[in-house]
Amino acid sequence: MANFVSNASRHQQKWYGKWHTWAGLFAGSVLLVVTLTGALLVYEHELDVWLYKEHFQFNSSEPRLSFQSVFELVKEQLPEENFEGIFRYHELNDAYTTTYFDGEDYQQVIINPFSGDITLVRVYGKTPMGFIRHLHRTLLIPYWGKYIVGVSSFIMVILMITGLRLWVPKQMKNVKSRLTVKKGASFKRQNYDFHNSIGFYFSPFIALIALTGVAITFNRYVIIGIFLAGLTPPESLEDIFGKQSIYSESEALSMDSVVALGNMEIEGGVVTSVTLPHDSLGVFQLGITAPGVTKTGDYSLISYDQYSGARVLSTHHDYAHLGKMYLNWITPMHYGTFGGPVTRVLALLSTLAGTVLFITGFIIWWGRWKKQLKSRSK
Amino acid sequence: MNTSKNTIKQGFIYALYVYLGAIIMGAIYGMFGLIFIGPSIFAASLVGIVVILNFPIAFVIWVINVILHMFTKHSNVVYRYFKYSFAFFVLFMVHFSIIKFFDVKVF
Repeated sequence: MANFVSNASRHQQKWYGKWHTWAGLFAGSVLLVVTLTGALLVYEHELDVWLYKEHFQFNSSEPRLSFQSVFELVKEQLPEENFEGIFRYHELNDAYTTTYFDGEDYQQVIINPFSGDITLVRVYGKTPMGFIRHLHRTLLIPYWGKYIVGVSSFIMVILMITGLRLWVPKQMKNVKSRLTVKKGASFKRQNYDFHNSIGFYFSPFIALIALTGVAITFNRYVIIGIFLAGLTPPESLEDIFGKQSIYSESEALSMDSVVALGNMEIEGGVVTSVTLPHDSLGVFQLGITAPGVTKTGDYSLISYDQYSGARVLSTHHDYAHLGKMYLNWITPMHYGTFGGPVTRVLALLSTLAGTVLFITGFIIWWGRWKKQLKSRSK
Repeated sequence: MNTSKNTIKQGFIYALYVYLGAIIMGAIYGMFGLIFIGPSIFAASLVGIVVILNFPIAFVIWVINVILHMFTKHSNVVYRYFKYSFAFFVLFMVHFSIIKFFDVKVF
């Protein structure tokens, strides 16, 4: 084993070559799973609707129901449950959804947006797409899994940087050979060329998808970093979203009156989710999407006092610069949705390119390692 | 002989490479969605967040190394790591300061 460790990257002359080999070997198998599942997750909602198509077919001849009406109708159908809120998913055929905890699992409820009928109750994690998401994020390993994925994604960024440095030829006349695959050459040479060219062409996309993946995994630390970058004292997620209502004897506002407040808050904004107050001091939290720089829009979270309707938090107003960077860019860039269908296809191809890079890279290393062992035994 | 001043200067050069690299990467990705400035600034900012989070770690390790230096056990690699981290931190804080004080609304 000690011999293996000392010899594994000896064929590389420079430190970045050694880093590239080691990082690839260390994180490769994790990245193989993460990139393959990631490719499927680029079209997660579309695949989910396709797999459960009978539950997402809605007759749109009637007008769309309001959040309040949907909530009341769902409450009639499942009177025992405590729902977290009502969410509208454009990607799920514009269905409304809600969730509740049944003591064992979080149940996701799919609701017809025109009739308020419940079409499906499921544990999302137990659906095919839910399983793939879980595998992608945690490798099915409780607690540590997500950190293994996060660290491996960071290693992917290192692989891209060191790979680009290794890609640079010693002489400029050799650049062309690094951009193409030599026709008619041996398998070994073609594999090497393939690794070099795919790595070069896809490096910007893979690096950014991997780095946003790191930001998603370590979001608590990234949020602290965002506050420091904004030259403001850091706040934790609990501080930001732990705002409370001022208790009053009067009745809480209805869902629709809070939605009306939200619709007026941001020009062109549409309320896409309403989270209910969790107790008598909780707040209504609204997700609002307005036209923005990205194709996914300008997403804001706004909280209201449940009795007075006073605004207690607005990411749109309170965290205008770097808060928007987090909400509008990190996930859309990870999934490629920020630029519409073309960048989504690019995200899909880039994740698959990650898989190809690992396989071709392993073949390169294996050949060199075997050669090294042979020359030593002589 | 690599002096302290030279190491910091080298750090600024590396930081500039990384900064420009991030901007180019963001622009290339954004180009396919016909959005250019947003993705470039976002990519540089995201790298900047990592740089900012790295700096306190580098600082703590540097302090430990300084203490160890008193007892003759110290690492030159740590000093170099801190100086590079410092250069990266300064450059990316300039980036974030421009966003904040010039009210750059690209996100």
